[in-house]
Amino acid sequence: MNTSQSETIEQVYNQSFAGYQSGINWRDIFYQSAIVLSGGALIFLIILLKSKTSVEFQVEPYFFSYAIFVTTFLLSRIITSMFYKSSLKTLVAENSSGQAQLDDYEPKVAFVIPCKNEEQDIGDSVIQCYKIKYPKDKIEVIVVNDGSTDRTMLILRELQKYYPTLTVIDWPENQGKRWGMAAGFQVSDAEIIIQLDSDSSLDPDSFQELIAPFKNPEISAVCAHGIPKNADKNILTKMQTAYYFMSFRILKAAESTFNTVFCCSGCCSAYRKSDVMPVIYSWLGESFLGLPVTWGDDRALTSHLLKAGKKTVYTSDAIAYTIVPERWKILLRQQLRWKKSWIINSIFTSRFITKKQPFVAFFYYLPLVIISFLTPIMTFRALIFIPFTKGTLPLYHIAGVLLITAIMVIYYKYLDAKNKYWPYLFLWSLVNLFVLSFVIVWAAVRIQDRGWGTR
Amino acid sequence: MHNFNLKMIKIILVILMLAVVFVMVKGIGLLKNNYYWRTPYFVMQYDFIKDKIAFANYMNGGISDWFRSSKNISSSQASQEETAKSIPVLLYHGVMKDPNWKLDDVNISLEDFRQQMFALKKAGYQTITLEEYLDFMNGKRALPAKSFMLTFDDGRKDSFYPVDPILKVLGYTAVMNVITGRSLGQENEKGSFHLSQIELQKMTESGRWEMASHTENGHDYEKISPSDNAGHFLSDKLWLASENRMETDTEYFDRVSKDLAASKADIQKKLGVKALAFAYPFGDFGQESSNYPDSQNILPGILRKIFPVTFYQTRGSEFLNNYQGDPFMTRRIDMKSEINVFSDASAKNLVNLLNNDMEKSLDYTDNFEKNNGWLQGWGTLAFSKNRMTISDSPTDDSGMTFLGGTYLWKDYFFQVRASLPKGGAFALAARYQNEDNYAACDFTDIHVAFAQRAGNKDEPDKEQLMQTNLTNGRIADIGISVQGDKATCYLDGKPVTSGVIETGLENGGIGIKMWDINQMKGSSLIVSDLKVMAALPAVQK
Repeated sequence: MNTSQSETIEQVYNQSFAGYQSGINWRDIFYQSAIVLSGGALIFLIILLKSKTSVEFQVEPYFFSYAIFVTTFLLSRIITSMFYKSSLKTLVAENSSGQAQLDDYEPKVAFVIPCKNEEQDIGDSVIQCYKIKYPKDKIEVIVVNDGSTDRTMLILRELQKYYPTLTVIDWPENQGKRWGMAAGFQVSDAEIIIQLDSDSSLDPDSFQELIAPFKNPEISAVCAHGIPKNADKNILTKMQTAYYFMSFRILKAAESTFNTVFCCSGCCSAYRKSDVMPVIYSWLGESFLGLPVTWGDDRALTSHLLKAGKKTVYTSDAIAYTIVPERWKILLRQQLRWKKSWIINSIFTSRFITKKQPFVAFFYYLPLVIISFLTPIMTFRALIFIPFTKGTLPLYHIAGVLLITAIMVIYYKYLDAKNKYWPYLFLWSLVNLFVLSFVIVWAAVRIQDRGWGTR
Repeated sequence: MHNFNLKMIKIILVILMLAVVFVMVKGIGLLKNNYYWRTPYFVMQYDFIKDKIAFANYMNGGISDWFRSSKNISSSQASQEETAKSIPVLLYHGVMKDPNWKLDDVNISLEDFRQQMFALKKAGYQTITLEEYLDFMNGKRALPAKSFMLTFDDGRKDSFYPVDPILKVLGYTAVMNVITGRSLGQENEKGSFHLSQIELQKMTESGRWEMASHTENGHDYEKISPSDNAGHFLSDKLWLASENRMETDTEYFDRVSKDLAASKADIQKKLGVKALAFAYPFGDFGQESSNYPDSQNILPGILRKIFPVTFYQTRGSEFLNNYQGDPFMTRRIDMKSEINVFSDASAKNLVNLLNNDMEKSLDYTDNFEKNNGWLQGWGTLAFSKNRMTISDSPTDDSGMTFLGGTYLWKDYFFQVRASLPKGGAFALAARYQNEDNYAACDFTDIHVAFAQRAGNKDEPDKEQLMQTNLTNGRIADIGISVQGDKATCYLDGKPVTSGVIETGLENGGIGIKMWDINQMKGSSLIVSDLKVMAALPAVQK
């Protein structure tokens, strides 16, 4: 064996696991705590704002409790997310049988791409899959042509000539995305299945990081870090880019600390086939109030895995690209779907999570459920009810929301100093406050409308 | 390893989050209750700077005056040698910062208040504390001539927040009369109108505020009969609805005693200071009682044991200032009623009022170019062309005025030139203390009489029947002399009748009264060339 080559491997190994010291990284925590302290100063300002109102008006105990609750909750998210790397590191190291095996771990992977009338993008999607840095003989791509009426099938047949491992399942009638995914799971003989939306793709260089956590057999699903491809398109996509970063790197990372990511995103998640198969029929048959659930497949699948006692994690080292809505109308429809699936799934998840993960349930999940349903009420009260009945503008409420966002932004900047989208997080939280916080109400009203409202 | 780590993380998280919740709950509680962390604190600091600039500008010194201490300004203006003979006490309620506030009978706008305080400061007036006041009244302490006391009733937030920065700028102190049941009660911290315990504590600590009582729960309108809800807690017997009867004397006594004692105890216990004074709610010390006039005699018995000083609002026919002696019934000038009498430019008039109310020395002459301190008892009063005109008013069939700053005068001869162009009658008063205590010479068309009132009872007139011809509008020299216990009435420079002055009227000022005769409305007395001489007039002829 060539010595210089082994050194290179050693270097690569050292690099990719540079941050992965064993155990808790106290130094990092110290610096991160300093950030939390400056966040504390901002909280002080928030408290100051809240107490200001009490001089002129009657004290509002419910509102205060809510404000403390929400602020504490968001802080707990930031702090929990600080532990995510050390948690993931120890989890992966623990049950993989010996360090020597680390580099050798290269199971067969399959991409499942359900598509319908995607003649524009499907070719590119497939080609992207084959570009990943992974042994070619261990890559399989399965495209489920779900009743396309355009030239999608034609393109796929053409592609098959170049990629012998490309499997095409051709359905003359549309069955729905969920069935397409399931078909992929069943047809493939790969150990790891990556579900990809037709407009999503994985970063070829960091693909290995998505597979690495599966070394621990307890891990059933890994969620990559999602980045919008069309981030610079307009202000709306910039806001979503900031939101995605926070949502993945802080919120999902926090969930991952306890190995319970509640939604391995549809755009970029890998699953262990052997863990998915036992729950696949239950997942396929998901229904709510007598009607089948047609959206939120990713969230539903993740929660079925969690119900089965499996571990789901997030890794910021694997990057996936996706497309975010560029127009308000589309964004609102997407949000409506997501909120609907959140409502349905929160009922499903609340039923088992207290038994399977009591700490996570009481420390995170149930508070999250409470907050997501309380927020529209409190927002309505602050933005509409109080201004109309007492004639006072909701300036303090808005200032409070912006200050909480500021705490997020501080941590955001710490995590990725080069990320230029952070100012848009303030805009997003305003949009969220004025518009999106009410979407959940509309979602609850239209819960029985299982249509997609077009994507 | 992993599970151990997770356990550690969980423990750390729970501890951290509990700490966060604790800090936030505690923090909100602290900030809410601690006046210094409230936004008004910063507003007050801002107001302080604004007031400081405004005062510097007011003193025509501009910014450079900032660096001069406010004490220098006052000492350069106030006369150092003179000492106070009397102390005026001013009463304010709310000071309204809101520019949209509409004028009412109780409150004053911040701008007016600021101008009044600046004007007083510029004129050399300085506030005194209750203790200084007590010592002065008891003859134990001399005070600068231009001393006064500032009081605020009801313990309202709006008589503290806008006012304190001004006091700080001017180096003034004030007395806050607190309704302890409202400010120091259990619900106090929630209220937005009355000052809370913490605020009162901070005020006390600032050294600018003294605490006094305004009853515990005695400032509400009470049910005093099955139908009447407008009774006063202190001066009326209450209707006991549950027993369908009125209070007995004992019950009234117990109720009032308990309330007053409790208010003092509350201030002592919760603010750590001794309340030296008490202010009667509504200024009612029993004189306004609806169903228990005897309360006027009972209340002093209760109050004297608790407070050395009680405040009431001076009425029209009383001198405004407080003179050495018993401080128990201390008069206050209600800034909403007294000042309005005098006019529109309130700050200037307030200074004039206090200046004119300072002790005048004998001999005294008044050419009536302007009002030199004539206080209006009732009726109407006007000054023009070196004449003072006293008339009746639509509501009064007489008019009365007396001269401020003359209360301590003893022996003197008081002479005016007077005429009654539209008929009527008039009297010159000497040793005037208030409308129930004075000596006077009455002049009508048909007689001259020496009359006096002492301690609320009329003494028989020493009457001299004579044709005076005063109602035909002729101008006559009229006079009254008081020497020791002897009073003499003068008409056209000659003594016409005399009498012996009752005890209790050893001192007092001068006053003039006119009244309609035979329901003939519209008469008035025109007065000019007023002279008051310490020496007896040379007896003519």
